[in-house]
Amino acid sequence: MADAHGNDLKVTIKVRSHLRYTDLLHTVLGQVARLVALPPARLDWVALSLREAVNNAVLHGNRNDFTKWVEVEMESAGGFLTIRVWDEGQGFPPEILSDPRRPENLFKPNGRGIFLIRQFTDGAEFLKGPDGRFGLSMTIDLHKGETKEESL
Amino acid sequence: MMNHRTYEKDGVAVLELKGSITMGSGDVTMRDLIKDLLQKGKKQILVDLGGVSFMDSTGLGELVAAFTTARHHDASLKLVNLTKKIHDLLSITQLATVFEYYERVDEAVASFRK
Repeated sequence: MADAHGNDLKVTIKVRSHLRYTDLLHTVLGQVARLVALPPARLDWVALSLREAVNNAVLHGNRNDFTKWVEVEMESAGGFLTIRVWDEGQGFPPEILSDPRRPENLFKPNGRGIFLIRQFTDGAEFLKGPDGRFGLSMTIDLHKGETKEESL
Repeated sequence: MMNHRTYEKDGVAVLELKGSITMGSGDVTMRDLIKDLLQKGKKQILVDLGGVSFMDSTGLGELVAAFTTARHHDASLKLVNLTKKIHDLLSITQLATVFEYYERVDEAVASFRK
């Protein structure tokens, strides 16, 4: 979707790999959301997805190594907002992710991040960049006015 | 950023939380506050989430950890004043089946006497 001036939008931010930047990226998303007319009811959920992806990139992808980078792209085109979060890790096979709703996982304190991303975005896929970086791409349909979870 | 207030109501320790409970902000504070209540021998703990504007998977995980830690201390932990968003989060993750939660503090406090 084009912004108010008729342009597609692409914002790229590269930060050192540290949790202190998660709030910054959340704030930027708030501005981008207004420009691309993300339905307000979805903003918190998309922000939650972004935060989960960035925290994963810092803690798991880059293993808390402050010398590494996290890069976030927010791009709107064709009625979709796509957010890609890149880290310098090796990635992981998605099949190791288990359903946190299963009885044996319900009382575990972690393991819900990717699950929430999948609930609150309209598409999430893992990427391997040509430069070897690992990425998570999240797609949001800007025409969906309701929070996704309400249709579950 | 998270603020908190602790008070006692009819023998129940009420922990009122305000702000965000996310990775690196509020998560450790909440854990420490509940640990502190348990170390003081509190057996009935009510966490008031009415002022919590944002919670991520780490915040959810801390709530679950608090619940199990309370159980290990023979204490019970319940929730009150869930915002719609937090209720949605608990429902989606099926944690709504784990926690006992109430709409009002007096109703929640009374539930400990049953």
